[in-house]
Amino acid sequence: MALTTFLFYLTAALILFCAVRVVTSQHVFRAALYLATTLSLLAVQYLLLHAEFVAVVQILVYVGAVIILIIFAVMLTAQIGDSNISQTNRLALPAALGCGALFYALHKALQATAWEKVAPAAASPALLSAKTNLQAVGFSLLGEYVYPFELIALILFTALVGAVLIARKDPE
Amino acid sequence: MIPGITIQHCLTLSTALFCIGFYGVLTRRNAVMVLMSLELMLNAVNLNLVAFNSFLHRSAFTGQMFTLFTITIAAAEATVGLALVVSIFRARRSVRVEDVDLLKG
Repeated sequence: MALTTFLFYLTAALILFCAVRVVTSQHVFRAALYLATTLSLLAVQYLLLHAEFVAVVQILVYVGAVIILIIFAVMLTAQIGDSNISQTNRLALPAALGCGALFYALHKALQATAWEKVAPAAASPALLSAKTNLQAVGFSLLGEYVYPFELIALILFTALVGAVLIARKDPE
Repeated sequence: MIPGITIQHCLTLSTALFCIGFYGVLTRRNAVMVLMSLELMLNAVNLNLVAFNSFLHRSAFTGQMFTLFTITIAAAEATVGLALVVSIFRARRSVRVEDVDLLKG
């Protein structure tokens, strides 16, 4: 078996194990650490799929920022850490059956699809001249996708201001 | 590409991840845990988009661009969501989803 194939199966198995631990772990802090592991392993998957820039962004934004935010929220809401109260509601069994059925249906659908018949999209000339993944991403972000790129900056700024406004203490 | 791995393998992995996240959203009582499961679902979709990009459209970068935008939106969502959780905890001294029932008749 080639090394990349082995790596794919290894990371896939670890991702699924850690994801299951995220939704079943009794302790919130432990679940957050399992989530961090899952997200880091997903970055390895992106590397295997030749999306180097996305892998780096995944590590920076998710493991670097979102996980820190979650851990902050866990610490700010003290009673969360209590591990003797049940963490799942009484719908656990029906939900598990429903999600299993959903997985089965989606799996059937994607096995039945003829992926080899999908026509590849046309490449833009700027992308064909790019030597690396990073260069191609840069050309796309500031070329074809410049308006969404600017818009997302606005959304991020609005979310930041909104979060500060919502989470601050009311002035007495 | 990775020898022996087809697009079906990647899509199966992301479907499983999505279903696990969905289970978490449905069953968790803790608002922070619900948000964490939601992140799992978003990441499953990201893996889907990157797989489409790298197996079907190697020369166009649409899938990777979508993934970058989704990651940004997810970060914004996590920020606002966790701020809401902290705010609800201040007001009601609880982060359990079933305790937030002010609008219940």
